[in-house]
Amino acid sequence: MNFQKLIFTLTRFWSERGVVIHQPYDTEMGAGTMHPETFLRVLGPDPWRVAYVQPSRRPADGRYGDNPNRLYKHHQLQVILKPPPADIQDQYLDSLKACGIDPREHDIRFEEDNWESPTLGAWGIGWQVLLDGLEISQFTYFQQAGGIELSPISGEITYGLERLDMYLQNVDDVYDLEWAEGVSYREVRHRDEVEGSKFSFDEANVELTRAQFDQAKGESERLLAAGLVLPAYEQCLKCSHLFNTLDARGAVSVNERMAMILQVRDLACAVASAHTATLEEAS
Amino acid sequence: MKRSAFLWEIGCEELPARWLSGLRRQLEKKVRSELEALGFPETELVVDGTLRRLVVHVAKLDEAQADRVEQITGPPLKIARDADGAWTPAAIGFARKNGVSADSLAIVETDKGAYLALEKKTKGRKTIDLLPELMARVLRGLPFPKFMHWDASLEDGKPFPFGRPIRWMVALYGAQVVPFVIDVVGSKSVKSGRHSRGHRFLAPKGSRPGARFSVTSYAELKRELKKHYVILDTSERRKRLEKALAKLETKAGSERVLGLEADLVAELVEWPGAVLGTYPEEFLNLPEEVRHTVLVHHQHYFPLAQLPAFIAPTNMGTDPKGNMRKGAERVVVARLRDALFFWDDDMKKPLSDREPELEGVLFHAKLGSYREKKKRVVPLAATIAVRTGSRESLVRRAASLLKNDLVTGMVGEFPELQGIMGGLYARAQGEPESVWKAVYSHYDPVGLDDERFPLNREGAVVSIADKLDTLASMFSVGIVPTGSRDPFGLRRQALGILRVLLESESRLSFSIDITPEELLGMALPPGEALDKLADFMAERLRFVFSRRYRYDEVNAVFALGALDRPVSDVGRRLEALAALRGSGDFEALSVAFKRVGNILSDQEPGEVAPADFVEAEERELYDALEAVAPEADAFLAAGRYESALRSLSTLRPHVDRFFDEVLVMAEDASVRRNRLALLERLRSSFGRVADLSEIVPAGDA
Repeated sequence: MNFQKLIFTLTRFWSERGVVIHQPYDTEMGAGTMHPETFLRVLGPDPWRVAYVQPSRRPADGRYGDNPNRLYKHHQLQVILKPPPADIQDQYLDSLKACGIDPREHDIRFEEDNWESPTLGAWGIGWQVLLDGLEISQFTYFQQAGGIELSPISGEITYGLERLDMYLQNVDDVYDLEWAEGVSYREVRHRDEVEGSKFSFDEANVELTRAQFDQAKGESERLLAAGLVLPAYEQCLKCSHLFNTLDARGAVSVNERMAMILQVRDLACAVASAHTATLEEAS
Repeated sequence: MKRSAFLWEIGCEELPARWLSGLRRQLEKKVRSELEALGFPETELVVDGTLRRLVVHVAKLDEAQADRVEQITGPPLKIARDADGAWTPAAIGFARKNGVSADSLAIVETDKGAYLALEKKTKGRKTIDLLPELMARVLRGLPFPKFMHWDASLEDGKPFPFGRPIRWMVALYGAQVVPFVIDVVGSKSVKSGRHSRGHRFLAPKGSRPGARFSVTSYAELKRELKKHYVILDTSERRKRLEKALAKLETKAGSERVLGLEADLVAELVEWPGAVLGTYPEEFLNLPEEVRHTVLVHHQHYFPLAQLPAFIAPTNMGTDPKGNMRKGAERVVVARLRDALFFWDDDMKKPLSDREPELEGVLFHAKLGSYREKKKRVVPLAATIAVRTGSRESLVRRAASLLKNDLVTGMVGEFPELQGIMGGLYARAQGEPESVWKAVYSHYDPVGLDDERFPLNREGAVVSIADKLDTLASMFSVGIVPTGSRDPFGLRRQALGILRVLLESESRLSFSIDITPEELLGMALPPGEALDKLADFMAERLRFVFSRRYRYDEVNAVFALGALDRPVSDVGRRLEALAALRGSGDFEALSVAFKRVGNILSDQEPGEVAPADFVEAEERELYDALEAVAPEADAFLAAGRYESALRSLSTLRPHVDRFFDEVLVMAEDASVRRNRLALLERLRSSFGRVADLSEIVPAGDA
């Protein structure tokens, strides 16, 4: 099953179960969890069901396009079910069946793996899902986001699309994946990986990036004071990515590192509180 | 009374495997104590479970509690009647609350005087009515290492956090379902019933995997589960896994190497199986430690000795299409390829050149980076080396390489290889064996039960220096473990130091004869921090020995001082006491020493004057003591405390006769003084090993 068919199959699978198919967020981010459709939707009491693909940038994971498993930017398919249905694990397993995986012929396990994001003030309880020993998904019951205890909780399923598809296509090198019929992952993405890695490891202008971080932080705070929650969150996301770039560039000292993570976390927590307050006003 | 069985299965989403053995124990404890509290002692209780279910079975449970009579005490009599002898509101209120008239109340005498009281008869409740309450208390009382909120509540309406969501529940008392409901926001309530579920993916012919099936008894549950590919019995699951592993070992012509516990793996699965996997020989160039870390820590696979092969356990029994083997091999190869990349990349730079990079690795916010830590550790290790007769230049070299591996790619990827990688890179880069082995093992041992240990003398010295610096520097900025708070694991570090001091002789055939007191003085100047650290170490030292020896033996030896003598010396004294413990002579002598202690408590004895002995028994004791003294002294000087105590113990008949026949507190002052002097001489001979008056004789314990 080629890469885009995998995306079609999974999004169709979830759309048939009453899930809103959203689109990637148009700001750089490290994981699908940071998309407002997860980070903000899991707050407050209202039920929500959404799925989307999120290109996820992790500057430090870049390998100049040389490594068969590691990417500067990979793709996550994120599903949020709030509240989680009692058969959420079975639904997830059905989605694997839709991808052509017969669970009777494989060894599928749910192994303890709790998730935590210090920059988002978020954590959850859950598993990594192993398919014949390969981690293909992260499965999390969100407990807290932006420092706020969640009620109801949300079930989050994150498929690592490249990993899963490498298994399905039986290839050992991510660049050998077929993206569309006759078109390889290499053709679609390799240059992006090479230049993305060069940028974040070698070229990113440290002073400029630092200044951008400070500006985005200030802007986020200002926007929040002005009551604009979503724009404030966007600036918070920018801070997070700028921090990751500086970190990959080797420009963050130890003491600074903790301080910067806390700054982003403070922004995220402030956004979460402000968002929760607007939800309460509306109700 | 009629008795029926109670069967309870709590069906969960996958619980963390490492919790299971503890959970089963706790569950059994809770159910047992709840049953006892309800008046059902001595029940036949079985608890078992897998990661998807916890099962409780009580074979015979009375159908109701026995009727009880209890006495309820009311107000004191003196305020129960007024001046006219009529009942006061206090008395009437008490009677009314209990639904009787005040005239029917009894008067009881207590320590505090007379009180109104009534005997209340409580009819025993039916077991079927008690069980839901018991179940709720048990479920709420299970101490999970980490709780999860899942928007669930029990009938009291209060939130019900648990380890993982509960998805089904079998609860039967005899043939009846014990009603139990868990409400979950946004989904159907979980209601107790008769239906269990089998393996997630495997099912007998004709039924769908995961389908429910009903059961009526524990035996049937176990039987049906097995039919549905679940082995409930944990020991049977282990055996089946072991069998699958042994079969593949035979096939491969090799054996598993240590590192992964089959017991833990058996908790990860309900229907154990295993597949044999291999990886290309080129990866044999990677050190075994790295290969095994990939297999064991990251994949829970069993490495096979000598071969580029492993056994991957599965939850599926068989691997009909070979997918599981292929999948396992692919993951392993990808991981090994990563590791090989890191190895080659890390080897491009000598380990010794990495020191400046440690600037970027924080040891602690108040204490700076690992580079700063190293600046303290190297001279400290050198000082200890000089003082303990170790080779200073080698120790200095080893210490200078410590922690440099923290900035290698390999340790970034596999943090559990810290230390070990440093050693392996040092070896590959031509460092002498004394040095690389020291770096390799300098984290060992951590805590009380860690089986790893420094590999050589230099390793022991740098292990002590590194841990000692951690303790001293943390204490110096006020980080002191309190109660259950020990975020930097300082207790385990302290235990590590003490164990190196204690066990070097038996494990490495050399002893480090330095007192903890002297070591602490090397790391901290006199002051509050040093005092606190000394108290802390003394407490840890007591802890180390209290796990191996009885408390009174520890008291007897510690009475002579603890931190101010080599730990191995303290250990040998305790060994001697423990070895002689239980021998009749020793027990009798320790009783005698209690007497001696009491007699001597406020006396000031002088020198023994043999000429002043009056009774034969006192002379005999003196002569016997003089006779064994040279031998005992020689043993003491050689640190052979057991032999010293044994030769002194031969004095027992003389001591017994002395106490039987001689009156110590004689009328005559000079006779008395002489006898006291003899006892003091006796006490000080034994007292050079331990203060035997601290020993609590078997009968008194």
